[in-house]
Amino acid sequence: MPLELTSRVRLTSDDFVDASVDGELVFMNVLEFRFHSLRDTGLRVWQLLDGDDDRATVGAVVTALCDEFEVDADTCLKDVSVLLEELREVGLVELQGEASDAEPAAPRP
Amino acid sequence: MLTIAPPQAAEEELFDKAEAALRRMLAVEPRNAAVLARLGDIARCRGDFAAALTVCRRLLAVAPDDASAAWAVAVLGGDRLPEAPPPAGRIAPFVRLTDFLPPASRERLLRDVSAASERFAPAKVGPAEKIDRDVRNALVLDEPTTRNVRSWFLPKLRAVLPEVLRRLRMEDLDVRRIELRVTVHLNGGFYVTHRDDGDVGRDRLVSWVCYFHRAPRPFTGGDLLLHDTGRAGGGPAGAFSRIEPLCGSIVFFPSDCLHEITPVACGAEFGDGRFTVNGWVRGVRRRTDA
Repeated sequence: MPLELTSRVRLTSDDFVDASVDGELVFMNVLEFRFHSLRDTGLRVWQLLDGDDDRATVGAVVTALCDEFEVDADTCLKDVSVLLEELREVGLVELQGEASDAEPAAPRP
Repeated sequence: MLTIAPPQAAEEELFDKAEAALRRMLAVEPRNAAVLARLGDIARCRGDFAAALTVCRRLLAVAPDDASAAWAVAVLGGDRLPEAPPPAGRIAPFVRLTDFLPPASRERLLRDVSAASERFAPAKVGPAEKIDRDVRNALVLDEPTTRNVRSWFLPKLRAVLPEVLRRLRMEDLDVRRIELRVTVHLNGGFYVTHRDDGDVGRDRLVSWVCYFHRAPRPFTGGDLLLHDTGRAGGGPAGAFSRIEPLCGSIVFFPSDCLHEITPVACGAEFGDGRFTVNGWVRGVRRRTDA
């Protein structure tokens, strides 16, 4: 599913534990014993998604990144889409269609 | 973003959190084989082989047909490996003898290496035999000096080799030569993940490492991490067996196993280092299916 600015992103890290070290956020899938790490812009995207609002949109992330870095919105959307697809593949996020179609996410504990 | 192993600084926190999460899962499902397997992995990654063996035995009781669990129990319990290795996701086999070197021999080695400290040279890597401190940071004793060590060390090694090969199911190995080095990792020393049967050692079949150092141990780190083989579906295995450099112990493992040495931290004196007598058994396997 191609991501759009209105696509929603939900963190689904129930099977993961994480640790922050030296500017890097390391995730461990406890059942698969696999490790993943985010740093730099990838880490910033995660921080933006990991705010109070569990139903962040891709557009909100892209807008924030465009404000923080010298990047145009199209390039930023492409890069964010690649990262989110990687995160979805390893089970760290769920991507939903247009915001208006999405089920409201359960509040995070 | 996939990494083969977490940064060392993150390991303890990740493993503590993971163990807590897994134990919560186990409280709900006490016979969950995947949870037990991962608890065993965490114990091995911490170097707690007794705890890992206990968990793996429990796993085998829950899942008697689990070939990976049977393999792990054999390795950790010091038994002979099962005839058929599990198809994927197995721990690297190793044999560890904790009291291989008596105290008098350790002291003799320490005296010898201290007297020869000027003859240690930077360790080299790869077929080009070059010094690459991003890959390996260690010092190796030159060949003439190790001749004295060879004369009394190799007979001890040969005495235990048949039983080691039996446990590794490598008794068909026709030993042609045993290489021996004396190596020291000083402060900051390490060796990244590698295998020993590369271009310069295709007939290296068994690697061995015997540890000696001052007492009490004057350094931290310097653990040998033996990485598991990959799981079905590819990708790094993630887990490993952490072998602490116990003074006087020796560990044997197949030379095709991926392994690394974690960074050493110690004082500036040469004698504070992590010393090893180490080497490789070269030869050929007689069994064509080996």
